[in-house]
Amino acid sequence: MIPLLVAIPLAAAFALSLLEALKARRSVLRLLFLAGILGPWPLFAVYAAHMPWSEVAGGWARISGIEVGLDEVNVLLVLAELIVFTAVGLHALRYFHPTRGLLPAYKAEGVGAPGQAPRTPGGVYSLILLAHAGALGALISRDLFNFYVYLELASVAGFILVASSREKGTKEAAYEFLMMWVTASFVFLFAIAIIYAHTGYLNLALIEEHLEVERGVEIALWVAIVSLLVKGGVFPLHFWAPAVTAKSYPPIAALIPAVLAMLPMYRLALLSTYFGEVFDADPLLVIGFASLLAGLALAFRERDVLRLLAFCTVAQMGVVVIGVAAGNVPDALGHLFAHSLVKGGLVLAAGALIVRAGSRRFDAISYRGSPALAAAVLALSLSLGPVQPLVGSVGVFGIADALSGPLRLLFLAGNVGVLVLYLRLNHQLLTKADGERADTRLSILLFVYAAAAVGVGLYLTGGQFGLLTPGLALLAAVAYGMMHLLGATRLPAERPEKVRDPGVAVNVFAGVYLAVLVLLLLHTL
Amino acid sequence: MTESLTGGYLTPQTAAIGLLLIGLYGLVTQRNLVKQVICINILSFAVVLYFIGVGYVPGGFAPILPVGETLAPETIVDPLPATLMLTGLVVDVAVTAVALALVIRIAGGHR
Repeated sequence: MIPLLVAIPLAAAFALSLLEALKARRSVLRLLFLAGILGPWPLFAVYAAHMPWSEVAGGWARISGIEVGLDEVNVLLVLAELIVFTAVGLHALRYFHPTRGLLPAYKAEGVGAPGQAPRTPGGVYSLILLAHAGALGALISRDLFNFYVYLELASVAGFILVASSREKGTKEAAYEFLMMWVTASFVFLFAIAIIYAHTGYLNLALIEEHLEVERGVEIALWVAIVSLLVKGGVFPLHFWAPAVTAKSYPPIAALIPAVLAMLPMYRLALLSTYFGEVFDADPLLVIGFASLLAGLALAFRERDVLRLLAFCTVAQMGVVVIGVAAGNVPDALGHLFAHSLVKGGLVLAAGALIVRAGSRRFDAISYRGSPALAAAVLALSLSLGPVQPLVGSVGVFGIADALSGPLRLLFLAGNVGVLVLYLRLNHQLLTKADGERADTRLSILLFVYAAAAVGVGLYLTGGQFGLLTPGLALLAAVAYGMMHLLGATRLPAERPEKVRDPGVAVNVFAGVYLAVLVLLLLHTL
Repeated sequence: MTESLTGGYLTPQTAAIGLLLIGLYGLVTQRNLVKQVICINILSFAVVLYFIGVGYVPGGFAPILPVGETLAPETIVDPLPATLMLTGLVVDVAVTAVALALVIRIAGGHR
């Protein structure tokens, strides 16, 4: 009964909304929320122990039903989803408590409006559970339309969660997020319709069986891929991501790069596998490298720690796209898992610092007063780069092995850039002397989270430690030292933050989206 | 008559592609937020029309057979696209509601 993984948070969300309307006690709502967040864990343990597990909902034949499953392809991503949602759920309880919560103290700097707690935390809890259900459904589904429905469930909850923040400019950011995701969704659905018209199926395995190399399928595949790249926040289609990550409440901000951006990239990897006959990797390789390098360049320009992490996600999604384009889907998915796990923790850790300092600016926050949090940030930062035996090294070195010649060097250079970026982040967080102590409970929670991430890394790598790791780390240290001496690591001048016109922003974003789509379709001619 | 005027090119699928392009054109050119939400709806209708067109059989029968009767499979309209699009329309309604709520909040200066 794999669908129960989805049914538990879905039922909890429904019950929570109902009980809140009936004015149930807050403690009951919090318990129900925790049950919805943690409920899928035991089921996951059972299914993971009996992998591969696949079933068609309702007991129908595969040809006429919806297939869901858990196997070596998606098990790590489901694990990452569960870990991130557990951490987000525990953070949400700490942040959104009406009297003892952290949010009433949170004043976001820059635009300046106080970020208060939402009036009805039960609504936020229900939406988090809905996003949980949608994300799990999208990960276990093997049917294209079913994936679309679950992704919409997760994303609609995400739009409202983002918009629930009270900071100025949040509604505009949520609107841009919604418009770009929904445009990409309908265009993706259009691609599904073309695939259905050509093959007669929506189940990926059946599509693969009946696939013929045709112009229509090729066009549909590219239309679907571009839509997934928009949702994954891959350069130059990443425009919705930085503002959404920066302006959401910290627990919600963690969900955007760690879960919402992960789901479409997982589907992209699946499409490349099942549509292997019509899949052309070259354009994706260009997009992947552009995303890795541009994401890094944009991250170095940031003063805002959450925007920096969002741009780092753009770079990391580039790594995943490169892995898919290089034909190394297992390591691409491995890196997607590592990114979800690590980025979720980093955003939550940044949130714990921000909420105390009342600012998202680098020069205003520090982890010196919180050793447990400092250790967590350091471990998680290193886990994203090519540092064995940490979790990110599995995907990075695996993808590097699939590349050759100058591309391999460029890829490794990009990953050294990631290390340099996080060296600067930790240097900045360490040097400011008067850092306020972050919330103790959150610090301990994040320390445990980081320890779990390190443990997962050790398990996946088997403790393997190659000579390339110290070499690349040394290179990153030298590069950072030289940049520091030349003054290139200084924070850019502060610019007054303006809320952009959402109508114009959507025009520009839709124009870029169309331009990329047309270019890729022209490539197929 | 319509077919003779259009040379048989005006199928639900070609009309859907036209609608899709209109919706995308609107998103690139229209600055007004309500018009942008309408463009999203046009995209949704384009998808619905395309899916329905895929399942449609000219002169075909609804897939509901009285007991004891049989029909050739190629004369039966495919019910799956219509079923899928019922779900698609529900998603469209939810998204439109959220988008319009955001437009109201943006226009109202975040009251």
